[in-house]
Amino acid sequence: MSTDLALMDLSDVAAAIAARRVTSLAVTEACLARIRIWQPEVNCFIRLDEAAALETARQCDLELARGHRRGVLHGVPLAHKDLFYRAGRISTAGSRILRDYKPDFTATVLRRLDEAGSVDLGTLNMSEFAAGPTGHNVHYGDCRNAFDRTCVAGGSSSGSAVAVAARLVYGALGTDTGASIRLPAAANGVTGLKPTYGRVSRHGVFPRSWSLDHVGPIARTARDCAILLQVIAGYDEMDASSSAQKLPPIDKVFSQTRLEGLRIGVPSDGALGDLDTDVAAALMEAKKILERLGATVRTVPFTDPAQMFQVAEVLAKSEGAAIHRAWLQDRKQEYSNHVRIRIEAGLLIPATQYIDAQRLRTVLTARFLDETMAGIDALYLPVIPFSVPNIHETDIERRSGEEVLRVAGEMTRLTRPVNLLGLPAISVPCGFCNKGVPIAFQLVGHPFDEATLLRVAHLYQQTTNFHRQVPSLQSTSATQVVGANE
Amino acid sequence: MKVSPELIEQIGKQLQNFSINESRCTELALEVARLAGAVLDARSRLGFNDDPADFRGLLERRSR
Repeated sequence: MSTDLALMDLSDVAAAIAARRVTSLAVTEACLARIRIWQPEVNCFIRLDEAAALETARQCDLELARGHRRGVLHGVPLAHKDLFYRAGRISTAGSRILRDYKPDFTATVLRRLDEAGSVDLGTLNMSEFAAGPTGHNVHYGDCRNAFDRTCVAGGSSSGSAVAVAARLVYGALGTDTGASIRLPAAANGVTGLKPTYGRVSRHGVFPRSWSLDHVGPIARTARDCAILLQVIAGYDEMDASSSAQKLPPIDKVFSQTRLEGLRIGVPSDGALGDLDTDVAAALMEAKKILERLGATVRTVPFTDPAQMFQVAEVLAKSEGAAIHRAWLQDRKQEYSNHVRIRIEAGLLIPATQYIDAQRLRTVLTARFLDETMAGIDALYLPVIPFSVPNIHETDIERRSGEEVLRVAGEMTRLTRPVNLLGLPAISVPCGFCNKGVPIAFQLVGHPFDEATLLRVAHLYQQTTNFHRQVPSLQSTSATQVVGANE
Repeated sequence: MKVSPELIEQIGKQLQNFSINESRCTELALEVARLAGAVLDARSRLGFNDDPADFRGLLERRSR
């Protein structure tokens, strides 16, 4: 069986299945063939539902032969982070504690993907309870970077990014509480979108922090992310934070070929803190490409991201402690050390400070929109301020509490503030460090304006090939380019 | 802001029914002081009309 089908983009494979140029069965088998080769190397799946996926694919092909197409994802294989509930299927959230947990209902987002016709291949590895930016997992094994197995995959949606990068699935859902879609997407050369808070339902998703959790897609291109977003977005009466804001039609999002009129803000010198040379150079070059596409770039204030980071931490830790309190008391030994350390402080923060953090969130977001986002359409930032680190150097399981917080803090210092703000943000591949591991930039948008971010990312990807680099098992650097832009 | 390890131990024990060892109390004292201090430092921005549930409304009002 050729694995070439697995190298197609989600949008192309969905169109090919719809036109009956390929079958869902052939496409699913192509993905499974790659999974058999890659899984021992990167450990991105926790559970593979091969027989069920093949049966769904056969059913999709039969339905299409009878003239019935379920939706835009008819017959397309996907897999998702192991915290999206499917009734009757174990959902571990990457933990030992939930290793046998079978929810009795299905997450709204999985139901919507099912209705759109996708084929679910299984569940993907993740940081334990979505608490960890590296992708280490002591219970199910570390997920490894698709481009360099000595490097971290990034977390917490580690398996989602690696499975997409290695071309094992056409797209995957992740969740992002402080970085967890954007960071692993950046580390593995794929595109990750954290939508606006409220855009996508959290119903049936194991929580890391109710106030800061965002569900979003990881895919090979911005266009593929847009297709997935169209399916999963929309009001859900089962999620109290859900919004009824409409997305624009996808054709309208991608109708333009230039960025004339688009205003991009770049933080003033020093606002971002230290950046590695490789990261700074890649970001500089990508900015020039955006300017050549017609965007206007201007300097904007980026006031006190450290304060936003800390207020977000108060929310995440307080809510995390509420979620985990009973287990922290009764099943403490079943947590990995570094995950327990990340949560414990929440038991000790006074309720008034938590409430003030919620109130500050609104005040700081209003200030950010008035000062930083005024007069621009998107803010341009790095995702990770340094090259993707080594998997052993960042193994913090047996380190002190101070060291655990330092590693997590450094990796997420430019992403976590955006979770406090609830604004949409996209991670876009824009280069490689000297080790051959991907680098990405991040664009932050106005509330519910994912369309602008997707449009910019799409046009950038029309003129660059960073997102087309396919990792190889033979070496630690990319050796193949698919669907290269002319 | 300064928080003592003894306070952490007592809050854990008396309010949360959660025992914390001595070295961890020292680490948590520093962490809680940092986090609580960040909120306290910024509290002057808040007035009594600032509703903790207003965040979603802000996003809706400022949507594009």
